[in-house]
Amino acid sequence: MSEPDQETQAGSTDETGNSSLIETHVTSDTSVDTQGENPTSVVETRNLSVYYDEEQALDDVNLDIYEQEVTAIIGPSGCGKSTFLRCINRMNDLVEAATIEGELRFRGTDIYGDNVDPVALRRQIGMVFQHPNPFPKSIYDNVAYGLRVQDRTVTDEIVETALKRAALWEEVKDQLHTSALDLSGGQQQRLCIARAIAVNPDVLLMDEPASALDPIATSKIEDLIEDLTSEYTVIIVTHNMQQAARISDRTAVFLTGGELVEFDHTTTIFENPADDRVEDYITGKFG
Amino acid sequence: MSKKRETELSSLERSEFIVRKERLYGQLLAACAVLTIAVTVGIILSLSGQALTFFGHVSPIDFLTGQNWSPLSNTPSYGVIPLISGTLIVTVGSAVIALPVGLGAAIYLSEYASSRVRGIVKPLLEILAGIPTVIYGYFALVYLTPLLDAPLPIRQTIIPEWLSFSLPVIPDWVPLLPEFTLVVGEFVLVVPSISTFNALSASIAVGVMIIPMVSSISEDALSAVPDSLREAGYGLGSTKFDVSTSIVVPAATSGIVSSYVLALSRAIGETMIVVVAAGESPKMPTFPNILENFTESIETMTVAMVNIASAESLGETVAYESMFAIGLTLFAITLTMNYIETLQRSGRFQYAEIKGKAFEAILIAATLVGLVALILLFGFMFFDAFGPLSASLEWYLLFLSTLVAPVSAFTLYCRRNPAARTANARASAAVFGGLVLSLAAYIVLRAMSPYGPLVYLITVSSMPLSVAVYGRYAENSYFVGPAMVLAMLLAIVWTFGSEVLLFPLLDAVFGLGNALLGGVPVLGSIPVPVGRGLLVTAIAVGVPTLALANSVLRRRTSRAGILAVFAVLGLSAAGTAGLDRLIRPILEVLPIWSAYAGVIGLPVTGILALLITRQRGMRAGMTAAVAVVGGGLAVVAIASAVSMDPSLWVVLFFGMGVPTAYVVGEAVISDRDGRVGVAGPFIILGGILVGAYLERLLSVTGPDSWVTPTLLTNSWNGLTATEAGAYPSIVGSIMIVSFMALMAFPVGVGAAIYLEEYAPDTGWKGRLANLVELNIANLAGVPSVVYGLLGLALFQNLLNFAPGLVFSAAATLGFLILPIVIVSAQEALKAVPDSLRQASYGMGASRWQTIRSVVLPEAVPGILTGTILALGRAIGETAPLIIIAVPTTTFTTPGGLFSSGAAVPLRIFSASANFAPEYRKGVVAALAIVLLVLMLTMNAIAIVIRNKYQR
Repeated sequence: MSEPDQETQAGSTDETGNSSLIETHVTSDTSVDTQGENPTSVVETRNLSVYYDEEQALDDVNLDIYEQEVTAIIGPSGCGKSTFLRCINRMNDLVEAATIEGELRFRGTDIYGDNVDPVALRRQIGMVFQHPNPFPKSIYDNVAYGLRVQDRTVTDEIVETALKRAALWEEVKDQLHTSALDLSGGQQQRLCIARAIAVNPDVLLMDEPASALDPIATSKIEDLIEDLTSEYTVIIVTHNMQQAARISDRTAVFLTGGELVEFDHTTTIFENPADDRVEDYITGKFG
Repeated sequence: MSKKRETELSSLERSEFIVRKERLYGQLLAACAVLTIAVTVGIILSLSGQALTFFGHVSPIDFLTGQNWSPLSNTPSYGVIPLISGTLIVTVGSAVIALPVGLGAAIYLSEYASSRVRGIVKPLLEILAGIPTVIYGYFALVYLTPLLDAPLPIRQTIIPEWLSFSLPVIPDWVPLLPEFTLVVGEFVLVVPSISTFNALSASIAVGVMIIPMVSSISEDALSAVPDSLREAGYGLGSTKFDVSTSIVVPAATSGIVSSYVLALSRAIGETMIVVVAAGESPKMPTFPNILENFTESIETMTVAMVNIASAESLGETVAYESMFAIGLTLFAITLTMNYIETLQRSGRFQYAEIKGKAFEAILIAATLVGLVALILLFGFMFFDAFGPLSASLEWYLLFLSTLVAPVSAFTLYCRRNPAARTANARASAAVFGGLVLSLAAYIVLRAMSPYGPLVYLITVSSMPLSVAVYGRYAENSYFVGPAMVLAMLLAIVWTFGSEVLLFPLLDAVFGLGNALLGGVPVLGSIPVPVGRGLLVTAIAVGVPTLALANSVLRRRTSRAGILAVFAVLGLSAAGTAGLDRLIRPILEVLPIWSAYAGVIGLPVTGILALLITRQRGMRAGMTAAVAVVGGGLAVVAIASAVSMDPSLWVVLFFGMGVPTAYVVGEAVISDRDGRVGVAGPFIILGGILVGAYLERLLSVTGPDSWVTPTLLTNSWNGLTATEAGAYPSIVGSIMIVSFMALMAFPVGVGAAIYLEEYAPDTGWKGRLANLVELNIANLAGVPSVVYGLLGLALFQNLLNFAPGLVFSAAATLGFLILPIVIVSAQEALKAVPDSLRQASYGMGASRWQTIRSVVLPEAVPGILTGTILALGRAIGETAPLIIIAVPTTTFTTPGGLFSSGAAVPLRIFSASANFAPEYRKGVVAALAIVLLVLMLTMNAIAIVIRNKYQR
């Protein structure tokens, strides 16, 4: 586990902190075992490559996502972070040009296998997008949407619970039937999280969920993600390294060309990365 | 925690039924899209089939090179060149007006006009394109030609004397000046005469009609030029003139050329303007004095087709077939032009060096041309139709004080209070929309007798219910949704067309059964009408019951099961029609007002109860329903007490009163700031009523108007103009347009959904979708008269329907507006942001669920806008109706879908040929104004919806 107190210091202290870490630069394979107690992996990829037409977006990625952890995926623009995330719930199916090679297993099933329905898969792997995208419906109907499309009973309790878990209930409980578009950006994003967790998914994918928000809304979302770990496995793509350090248990670093350069405990990645390129990226020398 | 999750974990598959159901929805939508290809194939087949027979009689070479067109004379001749040259003359004439004016207006609107001016002027110009062309024709014949013929200097040409003597072609020039030539000093004053029917006024009218095609499409292209290019120009120190002419226009060239080609293609296919205004004298063009061609009557290809179609009892003669040969030629020409439009990607425009203000002034003038034309057209007809000058000053003062003053004051108040403005708009929509729809419904119901629709309402609404019950138990449940739609459509057609479609079929079946069981005395003694009633009832009740029992017992899915579902649907639709015959006599015992109340009141009460239940709970909803029913009964009681027929009042109560009460009630309860706004429509209505009452009380002289209740409620009376009315035509138009909407709307929206949401970009499906899109673009450019030929070949030649049925007319116009509906629905779907689709898919919604609950609700306003505009186009469409022989004059209203009806534009067409002034400038102008007001109202509604929901 990362220590948030140490890492939440923003700005110049962060920079000095990181530069001191570079000097130590010691790889310790043992740290992985000491921190994880033989966790179950929920998602496993084996030699996963993705192409958009001729262009390669992911290059031979092997990665395990562990249960009830926050896994952060960081890397420079165009490195395939989002592509990787969208492979997990097969949102890339909607992109006609995309071809996928290799294996991606969800709880042991190859999700690109013949008998897997992408719609059914997405009902177990929720997603929160970069820009808040609530439906132009009421707050209540937004939260109930997932249940309705799955033909599950909608009760006021489920809606209330989801909004409470997304730390939005107190702000909206008197206006559940007004349009979701009247909420502020930060509230909209928390509504999108509430909408995603209302159906109780197994895994929650988050594609830069705070990048379009102001700092206060961002910190609320970050607190929320930490709380969610008690029940969900969260995979979050972010371009904000402090954010990854603050909230994630493990971090995967992708670099240009869709190559997974390093995947380890977040503390290891930030304090003691094995790969020079990761170190360069984290210290801002490149990317 | 993880234990709990594992138990909740379901498989990564979905129910096979749901997957198959949704695949079926996709296939049905794809079928809608493919139907558009069927329309093209149908057009080509129907044209080429008859055209081939024609070319068996007349060689294609004679047809294409012949210089004489006289198909109806005793020694017929079929040379198409005079027709092509006629078409060319009108096209060139209209292009001279529309292309420069349209482009000028486009540049002004895009580069110079403020967004406020653009917001007003662009829709105004677009009205020009929506005006029924028969009205343009009427305008050209009755107003434009005399204007051109009047002694105005513009029609005089002054030729220097030396020219008239030094040129050897003088004798050829003379026909240009048949009236007189005046030699003044060294000049010859040439005063050409213009015949009553002439190409010039037709060309001007066509030109004005296509101005908005050029200006709108070009303006879109100019606006699409990125601002960064303009800024780059300004940054280099260019003037606005330089930027407009040397940066923006060249960058938008391809869009401008597109607009030109489309506009010309429309001019080539234009029918009614030339039929009415340019006459019917096929002649070879004269050279070299080409201007002379414009002063005389000509005949275009489209006119020749209409002439042949309106000639009586032709049968399968060569002349009849020649119509298809012309149609094929016209189709080929317009198709080529549309194809060029899709191909063209290059071209350069050069502009004279006109600078600064002068340039802007020219552009403004170009824009004004369209507006002036609009004002002239409305102004002339308005004066003739309403005769405003014949009213006394007192009359104006009276209505100024009762209507204009209060409405103006209220408008000012609303301008200050936006909440009141919104409330006013909603209340007006409820009052006036309700009024128009109620009257339309009452008129159609009265024409067809309300009992039929009441039976239909009862039986058809019970049918989906039975299908739904069936689906609940059957394994093939995924069929239920699409099957319900199918069953409804089948039932509509069969209920209204049972005499034409169903009864011969049933009689044959029953006759066969009777023949087989001829020995059975009981069956043999049943009269056929009773027997077929029993038969269909047995089918309607029996087959679904059997199928239901079967599937409950066996619980099995098979191909046979799927077939069974469709069989059940077809048969229960047949049964519905049969029940119509059984239930109807029982219902007909009830007083007629109860039938009206049932047809309008049941759905209205149901919807209201549902709305209020959703907002305020079950109890309130039920109370409202009871109150509404009670109110309806009260209306009946009051009307009966004062011995009036309650039917109309009951329809108005449910159709206008209830929606108004709902909107007003909602505003008064929950809209604190805007509640005053709901008074708007009542101020207008009250002003009119009080004014009319005072007018009678004080016996003030009102205007001598031709728009009178007689015009709207009488049948056409050939004896006197004051008694002439267009009621049967109005009923026919309403029926044609509503059934057309019923047919074209689902198919069009379905095709649009398939193309936007389902069709992939690649693979054979992607190629098919591309083909469909190209095809739709081409169909949109096919002249309406060609659709008439499709309808003629399909319904009269192939299906042997009687000529001019409401059904054939509705279906023909349905094909015509299909591309418009599809394209506008596609635009509306494209405007739904993709992030919403992503969100929905991310939530585990399937494609169908995403479309149904996220995409469609967002796109509905846009789809509605496009559909209403398409309906506005259809209501004025004339040429295809002439081709399929819809009668121009009927004295009775059409009794149903399968009886022959008339239409308002046909009434105008036929009456505009009457030269008696009280018709020319009285009744016809009044009818044209009625049609224009109808079309304008539809446009206004469409624009209101578009503005309200535009993001």
